[in-house]
Amino acid sequence: MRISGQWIKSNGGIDWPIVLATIAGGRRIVSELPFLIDTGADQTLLSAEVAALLDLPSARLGGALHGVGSVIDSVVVSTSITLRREDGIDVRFSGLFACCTQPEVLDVSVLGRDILNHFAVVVDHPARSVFLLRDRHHYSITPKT
Amino acid sequence: MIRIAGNTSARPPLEMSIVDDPIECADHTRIREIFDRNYEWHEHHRDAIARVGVGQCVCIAGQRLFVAPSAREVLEMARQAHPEEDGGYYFYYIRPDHGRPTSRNVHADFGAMD
Repeated sequence: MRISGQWIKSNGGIDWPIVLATIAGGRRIVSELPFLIDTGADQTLLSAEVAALLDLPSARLGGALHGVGSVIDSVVVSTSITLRREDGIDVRFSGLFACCTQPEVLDVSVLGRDILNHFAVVVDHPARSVFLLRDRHHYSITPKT
Repeated sequence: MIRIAGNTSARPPLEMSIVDDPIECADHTRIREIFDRNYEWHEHHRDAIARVGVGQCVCIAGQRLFVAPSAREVLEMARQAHPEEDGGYYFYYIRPDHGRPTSRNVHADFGAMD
């Protein structure tokens, strides 16, 4: 299984490794969203703008989320995040996801290790490559000749 | 870094499944094509968008820019103007430290203004 991402430039001019995914909402069936690949995140976190898009009932989070130097206010929503494989088949992760409530805290939704741990994650800035690999797809490291 | 504090075992793990329903996959393809068009338009107008949308939510729909103070408002504007593209909008919040403030509830077509 191979899922390709891309490098995009943030508003602050920083390159971000991104993978596109659809998210299920109440009003719309799905919406396409960029997710920052963040192996430093214990779990996937949806940005505050996504809460408006989802229009789903939410509940307070059981445990607090901590960012760098602060506690992140969040709620929990039940939804699914769907990634597209390169062969056109979709891979869906369903369950409870945290959704940030303050727009200024998170510039973009974050794909955390609750999803990333299902894959080998390749984030290669010099080669401008981003891949999530699993099953028959794998990577190897060889010295340059 | 985002860290979960406290008991992390209380939350059930995510369920992973394969979606091979052709209708569902075709809908995903259609939405991604719309998103790609809106994102490409955004990339061509990135600097101008950053100037007018600071401290607000911006949304690209129908390859046009919509700006409003909240995500709900900007999505409502986009849905009224381009309901056929719902699901393929590119929208996000521009933090106040990323530029200058602007007026409220704007929509613009930079292509026509150029």
